[in-house]
Amino acid sequence: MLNTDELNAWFVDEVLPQEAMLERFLRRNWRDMDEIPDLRQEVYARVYDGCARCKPESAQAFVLTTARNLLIDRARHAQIVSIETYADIEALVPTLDELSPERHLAARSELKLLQLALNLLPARCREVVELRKIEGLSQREVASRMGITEDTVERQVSKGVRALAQALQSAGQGSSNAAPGVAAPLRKGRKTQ
Amino acid sequence: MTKNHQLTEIEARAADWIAERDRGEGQLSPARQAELDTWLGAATAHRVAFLRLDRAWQRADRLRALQGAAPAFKPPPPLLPPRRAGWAWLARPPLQHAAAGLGLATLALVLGLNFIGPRPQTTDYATARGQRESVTLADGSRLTLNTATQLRTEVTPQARQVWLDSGEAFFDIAHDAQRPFVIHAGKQRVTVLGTKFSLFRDGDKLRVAVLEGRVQVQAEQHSGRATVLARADTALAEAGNLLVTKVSPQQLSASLGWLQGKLVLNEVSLAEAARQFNRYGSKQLVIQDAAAARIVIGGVFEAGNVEAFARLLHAGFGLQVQVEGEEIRISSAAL
Repeated sequence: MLNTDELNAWFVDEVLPQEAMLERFLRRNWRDMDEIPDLRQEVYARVYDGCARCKPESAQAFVLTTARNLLIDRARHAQIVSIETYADIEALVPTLDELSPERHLAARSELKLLQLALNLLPARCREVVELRKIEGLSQREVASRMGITEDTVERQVSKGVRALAQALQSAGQGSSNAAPGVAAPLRKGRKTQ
Repeated sequence: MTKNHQLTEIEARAADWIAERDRGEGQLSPARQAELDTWLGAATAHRVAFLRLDRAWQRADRLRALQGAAPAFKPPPPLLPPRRAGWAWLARPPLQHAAAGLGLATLALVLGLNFIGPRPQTTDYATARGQRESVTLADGSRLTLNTATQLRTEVTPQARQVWLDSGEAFFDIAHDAQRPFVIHAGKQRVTVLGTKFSLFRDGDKLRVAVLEGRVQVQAEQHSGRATVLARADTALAEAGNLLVTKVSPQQLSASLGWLQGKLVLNEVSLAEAARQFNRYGSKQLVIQDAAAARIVIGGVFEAGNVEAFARLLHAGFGLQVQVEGEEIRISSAAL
């Protein structure tokens, strides 16, 4: 059993870095892109709860297995997914290793990813984040520099937090050419978005 | 869709918490912290959303590296004793190609992705004392790092750059006129298009020796004054001064003896010889008295085998050799 701090640390260090891979997996295997954030969130919740009971050997394998099981559950309940898609999901297991994001992402620099993400933020929000993170100003200093209230800065930071997570997500997706040789057979018979 | 809405609400709430905590420089009031803990404990969905957004916000700390034009840069304290101002030369056979033979020298390679510190875009390479390693960069350039050397590389489609933080390296740069290769070494900047040369950085001193092609050296601060070095030129750059010397091909390859793990000493004092050996090993030569320090040494030695050198001092010069832990103490024979 892990205590909450240990569990949080493990989740942040081991599970969250799998996000690009998880997202690719979900996008590749789920038709409705609008549901991807929900699916991701549900996978995280299941992984977190699952790990509270027993920490798995490999976070990556656990995330993917959880995602796969979730998709199968959803497909069964929804009864809207073709047999073919369902079969694809079942067939995913042997290819898990090939989906490893690290090979693609390691070569990309974190800073470049962050810069891409920064460029995706709305202008005002971006300015706040830049002053806060690049210049290292406190929220109070950002407020006086920009001539706005601290409450406004805090609201922009809140927006920035979400936008940055979203942008990092998209930037991570857009930048990695996620093993096309693996993706192709899984996509067969389905429309790609 | 309703679920999406629910998630959006959770994330908005989590982001508000993170923003509030950020406003307090990472601290919430005890009452607010208790409220946050309650909220986090209420549903795993809250907790994972919070952890995910918090991680994104913390990752953004690495943007700090963008402050100012160049990457954040701290010159390390000088690790090595200062060398005397000239090169030690001795005739040597022509160079073979570098380094592979040293065996299991390990190379600390840290990818930017894993960095906490302020230099995430670069790839770090470091050798420990006595190690020598070669790396090939994405553009085909080949770097050989001598003992106790730290450098960082950044090769992008637009630019090729290296920051030499400390130590010595040999550069075999692939030609690319569109992308000059720039090495930042403390206060000096070295620019090449495609050439072979070595740099040795010792604090703010930089020694340059050009084996092939042309190398441009200039102070980072004064972008106007640049000196172009050609084959067989060596230069010592220090505090805005650049001293250029032409050397013979034999002298040149002697200065690069380290590429084969050799120290080439040409009539240098024992004090200087000790300084050179001490760059390589954990065992340090300590010369105990001035008379011994003045003895003049010449020859070619294995840089990694200071013990053999000490035996030679004893056998050839009659000096006393005493080993105390990591120190090899050399003193004149008692009369």
